[in-house]
Amino acid sequence: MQQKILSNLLLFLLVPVLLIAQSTPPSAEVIMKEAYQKADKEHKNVFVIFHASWCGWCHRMDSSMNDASCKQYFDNNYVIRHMTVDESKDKKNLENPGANEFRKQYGGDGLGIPYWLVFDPKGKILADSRFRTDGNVNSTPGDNSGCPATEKEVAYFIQVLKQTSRLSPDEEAAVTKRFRQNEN
Amino acid sequence: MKFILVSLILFSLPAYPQDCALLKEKDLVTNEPKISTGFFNLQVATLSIDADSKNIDFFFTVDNSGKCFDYASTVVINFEGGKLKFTLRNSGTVNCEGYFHFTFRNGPSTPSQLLNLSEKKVVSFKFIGTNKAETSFMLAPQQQQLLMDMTACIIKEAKSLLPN
Repeated sequence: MQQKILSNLLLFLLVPVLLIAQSTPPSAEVIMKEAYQKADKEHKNVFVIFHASWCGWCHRMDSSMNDASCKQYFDNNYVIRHMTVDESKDKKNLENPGANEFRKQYGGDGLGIPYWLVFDPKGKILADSRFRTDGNVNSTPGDNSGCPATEKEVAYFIQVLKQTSRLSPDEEAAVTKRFRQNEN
Repeated sequence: MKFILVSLILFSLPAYPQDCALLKEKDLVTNEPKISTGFFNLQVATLSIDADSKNIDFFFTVDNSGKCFDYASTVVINFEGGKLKFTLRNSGTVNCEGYFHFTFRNGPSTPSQLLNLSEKKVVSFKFIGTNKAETSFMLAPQQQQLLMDMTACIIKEAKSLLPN
């Protein structure tokens, strides 16, 4: 009898642990490892977006990239990955382990979200969402452009896309048009 | 004398895994030193075993013809003799690319399941993805040996990455 109670107690204690283990999101390291592998195979670059469930501008960024007018272009040129950061206390379990450190490593700490990065398939950083007048990732960065919406933000975004993908004039026009709608 | 020399060479061979040439690199995310076997073929899958100071990660790319893996997906590993098998859960992303990971902690003591992979021959893998879609394959004898050797090699070298 005592043994049965003990085993039931153990089960009661273990079930939540197992459930937590199941719901742990993959680490930043694993996400990037898979992304580089896929990018290498498909001759694309990796586009990483840091986001959170509460972040309206992050949802707008996704909606814009997945809009019928632009989706094909982004899918053809990038392996797109998301990492969850900055969640509220009750949703911390949604965050990808190591994502905050990864963002910090690439200058995104304290700059708000969405924050985005572009890498080549070998893990070399090509661009980030901080404004740069010349578009060079090694020159002095400005503020986070986040989800492009204003004329200046969209212009910078287009500059990055041109430098990290094959962007035809038609695609450029479509991306510009769609992201400018975000300002409304 | 010759006999002693030959015997010494022969008996010393099994003490070291064959071809323990690992790739030494820096992790692209954490920038920490890491070691990797690089991808090697296991029938319809390729496997890379990577280690850093915290984890030993088995990263499979399974040719699963568009079947998908999620957080609940599992792999059943069957060992020679039929008595030993274990099931491990996907610790990677939700994807339809055939990417599947399972990860062990890197530490001073080696987890028993990891030790089994280095000491016992794996006969087959069965990956169970979303909608219970299965991808199974058997390993050829040389692949069984390769998997054991690579795992033993990583276990040994991964200890050198542990913080002092």
